Amino acid sequence: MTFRRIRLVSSAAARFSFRCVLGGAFAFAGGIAAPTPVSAQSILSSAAGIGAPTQTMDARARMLGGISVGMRGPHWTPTDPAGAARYRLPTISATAEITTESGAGEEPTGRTRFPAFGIAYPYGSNVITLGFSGVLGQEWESEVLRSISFGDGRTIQAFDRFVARGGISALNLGLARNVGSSVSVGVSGGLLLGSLTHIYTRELSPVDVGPEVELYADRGFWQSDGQTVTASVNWDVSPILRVGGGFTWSGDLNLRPSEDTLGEVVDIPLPLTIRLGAEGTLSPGLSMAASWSRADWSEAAEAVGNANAPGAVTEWGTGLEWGRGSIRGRPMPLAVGYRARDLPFSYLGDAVSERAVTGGIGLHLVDSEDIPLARAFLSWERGTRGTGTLDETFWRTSISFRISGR
Amino acid sequence: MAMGLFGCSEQTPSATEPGLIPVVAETFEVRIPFESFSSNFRVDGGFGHPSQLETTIVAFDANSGDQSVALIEFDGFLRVISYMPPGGSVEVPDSIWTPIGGDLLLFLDSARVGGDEPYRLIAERITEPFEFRNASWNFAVDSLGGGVPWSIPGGGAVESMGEGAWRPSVTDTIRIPIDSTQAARIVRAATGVLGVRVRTDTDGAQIRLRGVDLEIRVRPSLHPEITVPIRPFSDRQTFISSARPAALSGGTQGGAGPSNLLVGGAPAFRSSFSFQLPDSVAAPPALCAGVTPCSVPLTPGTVVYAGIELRSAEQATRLLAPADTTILEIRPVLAPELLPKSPMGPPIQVFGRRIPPDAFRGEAGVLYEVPVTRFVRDVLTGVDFRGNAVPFAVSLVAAPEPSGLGVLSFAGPGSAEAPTLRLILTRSPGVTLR
Repeated sequence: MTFRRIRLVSSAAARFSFRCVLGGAFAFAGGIAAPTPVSAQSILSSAAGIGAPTQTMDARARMLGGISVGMRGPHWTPTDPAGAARYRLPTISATAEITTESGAGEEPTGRTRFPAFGIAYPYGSNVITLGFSGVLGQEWESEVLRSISFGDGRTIQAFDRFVARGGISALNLGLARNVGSSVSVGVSGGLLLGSLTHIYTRELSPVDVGPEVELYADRGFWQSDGQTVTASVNWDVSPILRVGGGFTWSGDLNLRPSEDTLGEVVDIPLPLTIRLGAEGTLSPGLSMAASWSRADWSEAAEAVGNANAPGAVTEWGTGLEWGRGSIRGRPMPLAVGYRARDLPFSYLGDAVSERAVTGGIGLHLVDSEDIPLARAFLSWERGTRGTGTLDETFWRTSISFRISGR
Repeated sequence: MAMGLFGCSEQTPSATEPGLIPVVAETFEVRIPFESFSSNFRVDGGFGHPSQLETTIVAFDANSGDQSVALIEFDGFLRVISYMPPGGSVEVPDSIWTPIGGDLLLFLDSARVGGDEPYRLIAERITEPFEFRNASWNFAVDSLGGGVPWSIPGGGAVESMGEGAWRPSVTDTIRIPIDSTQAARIVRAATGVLGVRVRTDTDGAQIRLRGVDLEIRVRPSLHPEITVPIRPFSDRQTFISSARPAALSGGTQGGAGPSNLLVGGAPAFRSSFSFQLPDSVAAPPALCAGVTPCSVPLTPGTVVYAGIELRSAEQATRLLAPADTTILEIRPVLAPELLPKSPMGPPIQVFGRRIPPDAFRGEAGVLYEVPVTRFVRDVLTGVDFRGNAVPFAVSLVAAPEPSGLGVLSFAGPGSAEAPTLRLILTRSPGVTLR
């Protein structure tokens, strides 16, 4: 005996769709779009712990294999505040991602996210930055059909569903400046904002029970707060090589339950993340970039009861860029890369790792002498994510705009 | 713009992995006896009148001796008739005429009929005045403070008009001839109002009378060689029955004492009680870490299903077994202190519960369940979804009311088959982060 379910579109989903459309339209228009706090999430990454760390790099960094620090050229990313030091004009940067993923033999899922949005404003010899970016994201659900016995031979079907949605974002104010002609430094600090919602429902089969069976629902809602600081330094060792380093420090992420949610405030110690990176010229028109980062999530995993968490996780990536491409006289760099990372929380006791081949193009739409005024980058990723016994593949397309002007 | 369109395709990653659901919920079933979930039970009768129904029931049960008879009321005849004389071209009025006979035509429902044919139908002229809108088995006029009883229950003194045998397989109309003597009496009586009673003495018969026609043939004084048919201005029908539900035969309506739970009929019965839910219910030991006895609080969120279980009771007479499906509604009683005349709220279930007639034809004890989940949740909350206070008292009524001759009779409080409240509850420790 089976029963059919009537699925209602939740108001949250409806709100989100509206937000995506609105956000997308704003991003296209170069307006002020509020980035959604979560990046692309899959069941393997976001179903563990409190979700997956959001990768906030822009499309150029992503097509180079996910460079987090040390990338050449003026840019703003949440992980490299020093990158904005070389802006000479006010600039708006925004990135959107479109991701689809699927497990073996399963229907693909997909979504659009806006992982980072930033403004850089040169003021004297400093550049002030304001950024809004994702930190952690969780969006998944699990559905199970069960048989429940009443002990007298009668059984009824029950449909259990658990939905987890939420994201933690960072709102950062930063300062970047050049120190001498070859070194730039940057620091940004701000607040961690966001919320987490977990909903459990059980729906009994009306065929087995009766026509007026109601849904059982339990809900937990947590509001988050915390502080974070990110600092980085980039050093142009020579005209053909830049190296960089930085870190992100965060205080405890405090998850405060709503009045009708069980439990006390949960304090999750977020790890110190250390980053190193470099980009250099191999030959005229051809450059190479690489970066590495490390964070120890042991305490965070323990705080949320995530068993067999990997603890310290690393992330690295590398890429090649050919800068001689052009279209109608406009430079059009091409890049390919590869990146890999371990996720901080285990999925049902198994560590999860992610690998991806990346690539993309850049479009230098408008330059004024050596000052970039409008640039766009489009990147693609084809990757896999797995635990060794469970795998999924994903496609991700990212698009970034940098618009400068007086 | 393309980005904006992309933004509309939201699909949440989904798994079918039980290990990802961190909530361990228990679903279990409990039954609460009538005495433990209700109070102030009462049965009230007298709602509506058979004259409000579209059809009239003529029935007879030899075992109990109960019967249902049709009362037909005809308005008078014209005193001056008008007719076309032989060879004439202008109608002639005539106030002196002689009845020579007539016919009473009965139009019957040949599709829905109970008992064995042929049915004998007997027409009798009622000699006592009655009020067809409130006449009952014992009273010709059954109004409060001014009741006029029949000289003989069931229609008073009557005069035979004629009879006929009806075979539904052959026709849906029966013609009962009226002789000249009866015709003369009918016309004389028709100076006011003529009442006709139609009954049957065929055991088990339950016949629906859909309509009647009375035709009297008269001979005009100016042209005695012709006959002219005349008809009364109009007619109305109702029925009265001697049958009463078993539990009320010796008891009182709306009074104390054991009673079956009665719903419907004509006039209709209503059964009312107040929900008085317990604070806690027995639960599986697993919910109390193995401690027995285990009880858990009864809260609105835990009730995922609630239904009142009703079991059919034995009927006192076959006449009261519903012949058709009856729609049973549970409606909130808005002012319980005004019962039986309290206003009622809309039905708890929009479409009511359809109770087929089978349960009341054979063995008693057939189970019917009426879902009341949302109402029970509201009772536990104290307010409905609009924030209005929820009346705890409810009435079980038939829709529409009156419903017909048959009465839904369920075992009432005090019996082994008394109603029970079946609850299916789900409980979980709640959603936590860890």
